[in-house]
Amino acid sequence: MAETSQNYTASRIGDGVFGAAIAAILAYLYLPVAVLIIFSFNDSNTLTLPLSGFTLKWYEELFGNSDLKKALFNSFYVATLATALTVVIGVPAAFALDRMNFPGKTLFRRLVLLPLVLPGIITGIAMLNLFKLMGFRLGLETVIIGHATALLSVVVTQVFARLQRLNRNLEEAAADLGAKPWETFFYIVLPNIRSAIIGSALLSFTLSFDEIPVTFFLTGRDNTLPMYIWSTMRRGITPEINAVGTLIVAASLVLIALSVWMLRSNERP
Amino acid sequence: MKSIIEIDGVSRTFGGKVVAVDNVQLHVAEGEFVTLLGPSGCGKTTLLRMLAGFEMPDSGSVRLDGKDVTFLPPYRRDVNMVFQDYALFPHLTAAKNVGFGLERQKLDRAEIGKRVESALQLVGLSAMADRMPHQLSGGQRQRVALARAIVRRPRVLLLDEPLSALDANLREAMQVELKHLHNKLGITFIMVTHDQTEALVMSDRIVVMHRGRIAQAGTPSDLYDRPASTYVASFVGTSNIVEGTIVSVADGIAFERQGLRLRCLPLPGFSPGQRALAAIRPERLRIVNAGAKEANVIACTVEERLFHGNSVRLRCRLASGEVFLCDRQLNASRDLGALPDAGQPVHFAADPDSIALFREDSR
Repeated sequence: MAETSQNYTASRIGDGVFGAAIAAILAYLYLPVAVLIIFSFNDSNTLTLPLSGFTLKWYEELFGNSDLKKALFNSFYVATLATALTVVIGVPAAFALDRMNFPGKTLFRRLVLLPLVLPGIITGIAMLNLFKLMGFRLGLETVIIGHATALLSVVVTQVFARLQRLNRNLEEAAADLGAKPWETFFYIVLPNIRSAIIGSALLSFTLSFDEIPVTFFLTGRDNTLPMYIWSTMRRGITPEINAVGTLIVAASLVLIALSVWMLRSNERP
Repeated sequence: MKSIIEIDGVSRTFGGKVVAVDNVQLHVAEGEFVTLLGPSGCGKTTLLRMLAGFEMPDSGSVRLDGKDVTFLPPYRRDVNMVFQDYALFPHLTAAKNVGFGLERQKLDRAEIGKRVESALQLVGLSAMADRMPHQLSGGQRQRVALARAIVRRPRVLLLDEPLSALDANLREAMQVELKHLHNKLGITFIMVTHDQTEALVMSDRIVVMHRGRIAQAGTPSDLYDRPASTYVASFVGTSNIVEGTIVSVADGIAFERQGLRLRCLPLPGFSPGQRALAAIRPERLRIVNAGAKEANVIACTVEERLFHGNSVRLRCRLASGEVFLCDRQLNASRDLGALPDAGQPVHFAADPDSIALFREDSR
């Protein structure tokens, strides 16, 4: 009897320690985000406790700030087109790696992956040199090209990995059942690699959205959102920045929910 | 009967050196159930894939219903295939899998629905129409694959080791079901297998393949009773094969091997002094007394007695060293005691008509 109660106490202490550890990990991960969100609604110019009251005025100011809105729009523009470009180039490249044998295939695969591990600052300087050499005018378009080179590897690796796991017999079965090559691609291959394409596209989008080093070198006078935030930070964190951060967190959650939902509906159409 | 498939002088080499199919000649009659049998790497699957259009021959021609299809892509051929791993489309329901081929034919929805339903009914899966492949058991997936292949009413159904992924009981039941389906549909079935029992049970005709060539083609009983080579004799069923010399061809053929003398039926093409191989089925041997006045008495020592349920296999050794097998069916009294035990001597008698002789180069 005594022994069991001792065990019981020990297990309660164990549970308590375990619970505290979980709480600490979650706090470590999410406390900064929570602070950001809370202070975006705090009625004070400075980031100091205690909280002084609820307000939406930082959001109002945000929507009145044309520089910030322009930067936000630019970021969407860049991330969307860079993602589109990587998908359009990356998916066929992944197919080439999976389906075709050509001399230097391994080298090609490694070279496609390289920009991902190359520091952004190197990519940025290298492309800046090239664009200067070719007489390109710097702007959002050069940023798009810069982002696309680094992000290409994300799409290629994801789609290539999925293609490798795809049973090639499925395509033979489709052909056997009268499907022409394009029908096999659209009705059999694409549905089975769709989640890899969507997943890598979403990842590319977010990576492009908050990219600074490459953008820093390749953008002319146009600002993207991270660049704008970074530049205003020199004057200290303003509640307005917290408001932008909160909106981005909200948008990210929506994107995550969307991708989870799409991937699930892909499993059970 | 007219030939639906005519394979003429077809060869296929992989990577410039591995000869998968070597000058194969095979005609198949409409409605026949033909099995390509052989060990892995014998070229049977490559031959089947050339019929489906997944492989093109390096030389020779393939005609389907009189039409040359040698270089036609798979989607333009009037054949359908059941894949070894079924190759069901994982993102489509059973019914959508079955309907896929009909949708490619641009049939209207009502017609597709009707034919999918009747195909699923034929394989006994009507209740599973809306299941996804991963929600089906192995046997059910096999049936979906079958329904998907027959729903287009092909002239020829190709089956690539269709039963190899099923467990033993289900496999036996499906052998019978496939045979019934063949009778019901009346279309030509070409099956590939390495399982000789499967081939013997199901086929009208078996084509035994060896190193890319046809070793022998014939009905199951032809192959079993009159194998053309020791290769066929040992691949289809089991055979005791003894190497020896022809000593006389007068009054039947006499064959000798270290104290073992066998009298066989007369057969052309043999002459005294020639090296030869004798093959005897284990179930054709009778156990006799030591001094029996029989034509061919074979003395052995029993090494092992293997109980097979309905029969017993005696694993024996000849004085010359070869392993010699004898299968005894157990009768109603199931009298195991009458059979010799391990270590005991035993004498077999083989009737002359139970011995198949082959020239040494027939391997």
